[in-house]
Amino acid sequence: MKKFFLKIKKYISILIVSFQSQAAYKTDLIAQNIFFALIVFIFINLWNKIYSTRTVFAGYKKEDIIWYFIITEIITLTTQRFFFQISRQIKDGSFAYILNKPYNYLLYIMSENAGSMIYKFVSNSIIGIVIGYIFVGPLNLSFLINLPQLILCITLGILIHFFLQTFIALSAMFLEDNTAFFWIYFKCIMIFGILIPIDVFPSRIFNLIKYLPFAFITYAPAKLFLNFSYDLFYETLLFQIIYFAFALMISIFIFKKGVRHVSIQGG
Amino acid sequence: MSVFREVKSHLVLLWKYFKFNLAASMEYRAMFITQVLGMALNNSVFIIFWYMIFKNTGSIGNYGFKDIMFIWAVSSSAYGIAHIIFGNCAYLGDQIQKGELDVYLLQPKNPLFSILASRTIISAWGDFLYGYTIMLVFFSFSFFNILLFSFLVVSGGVIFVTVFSISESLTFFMGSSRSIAQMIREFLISFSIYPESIFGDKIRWLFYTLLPAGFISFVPKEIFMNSCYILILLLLAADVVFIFLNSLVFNMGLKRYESGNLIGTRL
Amino acid sequence: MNVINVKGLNKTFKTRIKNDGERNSFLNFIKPSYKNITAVNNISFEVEKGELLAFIGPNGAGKSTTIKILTGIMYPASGKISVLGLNPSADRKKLSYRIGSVFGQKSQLWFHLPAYDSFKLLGTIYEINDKLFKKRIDELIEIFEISDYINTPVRKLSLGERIRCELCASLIHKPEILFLDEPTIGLDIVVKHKIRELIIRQNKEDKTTVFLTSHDVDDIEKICKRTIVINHGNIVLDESIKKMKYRYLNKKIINIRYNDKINIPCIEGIAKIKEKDYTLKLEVDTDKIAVNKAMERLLNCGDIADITIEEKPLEEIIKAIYTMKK
Repeated sequence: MKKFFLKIKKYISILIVSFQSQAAYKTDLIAQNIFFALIVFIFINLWNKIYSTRTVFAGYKKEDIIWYFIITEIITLTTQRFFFQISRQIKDGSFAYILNKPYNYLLYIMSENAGSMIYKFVSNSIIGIVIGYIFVGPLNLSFLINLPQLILCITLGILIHFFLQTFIALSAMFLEDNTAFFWIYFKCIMIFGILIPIDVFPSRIFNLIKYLPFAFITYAPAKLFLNFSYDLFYETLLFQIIYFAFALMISIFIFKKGVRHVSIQGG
Repeated sequence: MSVFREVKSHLVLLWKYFKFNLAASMEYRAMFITQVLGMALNNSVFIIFWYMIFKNTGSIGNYGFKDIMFIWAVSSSAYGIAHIIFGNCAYLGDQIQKGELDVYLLQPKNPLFSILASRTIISAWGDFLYGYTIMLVFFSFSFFNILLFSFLVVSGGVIFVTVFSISESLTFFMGSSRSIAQMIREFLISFSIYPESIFGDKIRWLFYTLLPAGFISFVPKEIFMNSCYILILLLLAADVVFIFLNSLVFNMGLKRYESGNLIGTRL
Repeated sequence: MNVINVKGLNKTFKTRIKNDGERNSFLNFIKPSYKNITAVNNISFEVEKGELLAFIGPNGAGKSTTIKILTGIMYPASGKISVLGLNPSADRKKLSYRIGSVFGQKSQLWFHLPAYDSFKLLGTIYEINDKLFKKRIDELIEIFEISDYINTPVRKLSLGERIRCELCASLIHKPEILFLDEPTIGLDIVVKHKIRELIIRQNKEDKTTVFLTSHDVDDIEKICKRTIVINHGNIVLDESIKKMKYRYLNKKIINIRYNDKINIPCIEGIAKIKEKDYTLKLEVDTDKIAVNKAMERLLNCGDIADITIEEKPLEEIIKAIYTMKK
């Protein structure tokens, strides 16, 4: 039991240290807040213009479609830049030093990033709520009743996103250049979830994509916020758990395979 | 040495830099292809987005689907050509901090010109070709159109290079300007790909001054889509102004560098 | 004829004083306080055409600052500097046609391309016409013996091969002065030897003035004829290497092995450096005791099995100069 607590302490201390590190890191965090504010600002302007001549767009009210965007951006931005960090560690070999240390690599990167992820989530949520409130009006507070369920779904969404990126990032152990795959993944998330709610797509396409992991990172959690229903919640939860387990497994798998590959190659 | 001779020798040098940059890129043939395709795919996501938007609404301000495709094409190719030929415009700050400027100062050619031209970004070919592909797909690509489009691309490229280079040159004055430069990059690119008509007049002046997306996308759109050819003069004037500003800021910074009083650099 | 003329060169830097503690950092941000650091303090020297000069000093002594000022990368606070008749910071571009440089840590060669391509680019930069360039580069390739790997990408070359190419690159435009900053750093003995040979040859054949900075004492001893030592921003020594060794030659090192355990009495001028079993390492101050007298005394101490007498190595001499108080 004691050993378990020591282990946890180890990862928490990594979290704290990495969060406290120097100025450059802090300015990066502020920079991503500014980027978030920029993109929300642009999209609010876009939707305001579109809704200046109508009240409904593909079945959505203006407030809903804007809050949808804000929520999906908040979810996906928590893991921004993390991919490049891992890829870089693998490319320049500093990954080997971490492997030498007595921690589980995956837990290590999770705790290293947990601090910044929590910061990004909280700060972007605040910024999103403030900007949304100023330009659009208050979010329908009925979601507060179901807050715990929503937090659960958002967390699972973030975790799926995190581990899918981990999987792609770890492919750097095999591939000369894996950034193309990252861009493909990232763009899929963008179009199948963030830029517009995927039910705006014609129903044939919607039916194809609504069970993809991207939908459960962005669309499903955001829809729950706008319009909570237990049916949707249970379905979302089910798929999220499946996808989370899947993403975790393939990450571990590629990691184990990769470490062997790297040691044979000599790094 | 006459001005003419100077200009000619620098153009010859530029051609040589371009040739060698291309050869160096070809060393990584596989990466070249994946990066180019990756970029193209990257950018294509927005075609889907805008297609869905316009499927559900009429024009936005005075921008229709084709107008949006145009500003995407011109800004994408402009960004592309800027980073193919003057690829160091995004890394100038780093190089200044690491003292890598010295090698260029010891050569008998304009150091800003040389340092900017000495690197190429492989993925920029993706952006560059993407723009032309869009034009081919959505517009009738007559010889005149190609010529006009190419002119607009070069003009936009000048704006990209100079603005990025100016923001990177801030390193001379403030230690690490990486975050600010990064922010300016993201802002400039973001504002170039959304129609200016969604923004209120209060911020539109930005697009013709600090974040000249106006000269990259909006004025070219008027020229190409609405045949407002007189505006070509405006573009040329803007290019000249920004080249001048770039030269000014860089040389001011260089004076500081030569005094040895740079903050935070390794001497 | 002088190629470099430095008179009363001064350079000071303004650095921000960083005070510790939160409160001070905040105050510092609003109103920063500066400190003046004198990097180079009123130095003067001249270099003649064709000289092989070592410009040395401990880290932070002001070496790099001086070189940067001589090449025009930095401008001085005050002083008269003339390199090849030009003012380096005012006429940097003009001067750059006539000087070459190899900075150990920074490369002039493109990483992903063969060195030959970098040479071609440099040919364009220095505006050398094609025919002349071809002749010159073929010449250099032969002298430097780099034809085997001239078409291999630079990233695949060993350090020794790369440095040879860097040196070659710095000479394409036939510079009159060659500034070398740590050219042999990280190289193995054989390659170091070769590089030194090439530098000396270049100096002999084209009368290229060589201005070398190195922490490798062998570089200094084997290549250069004259040395200027700078420390704390001041020139502490400006002498030919021969004279320097001669002047500090008052110390001799004697390694002596006796057949038996010996107790050396306290002899004035002879200091014990090391002692192990029957072997002793002694330092003899020839100002205090003549060599023959010292030898006599030591011989009288016992049966000698083996003896060697060395000069104090240049390294020790330089170390002593570096650690001299201001």
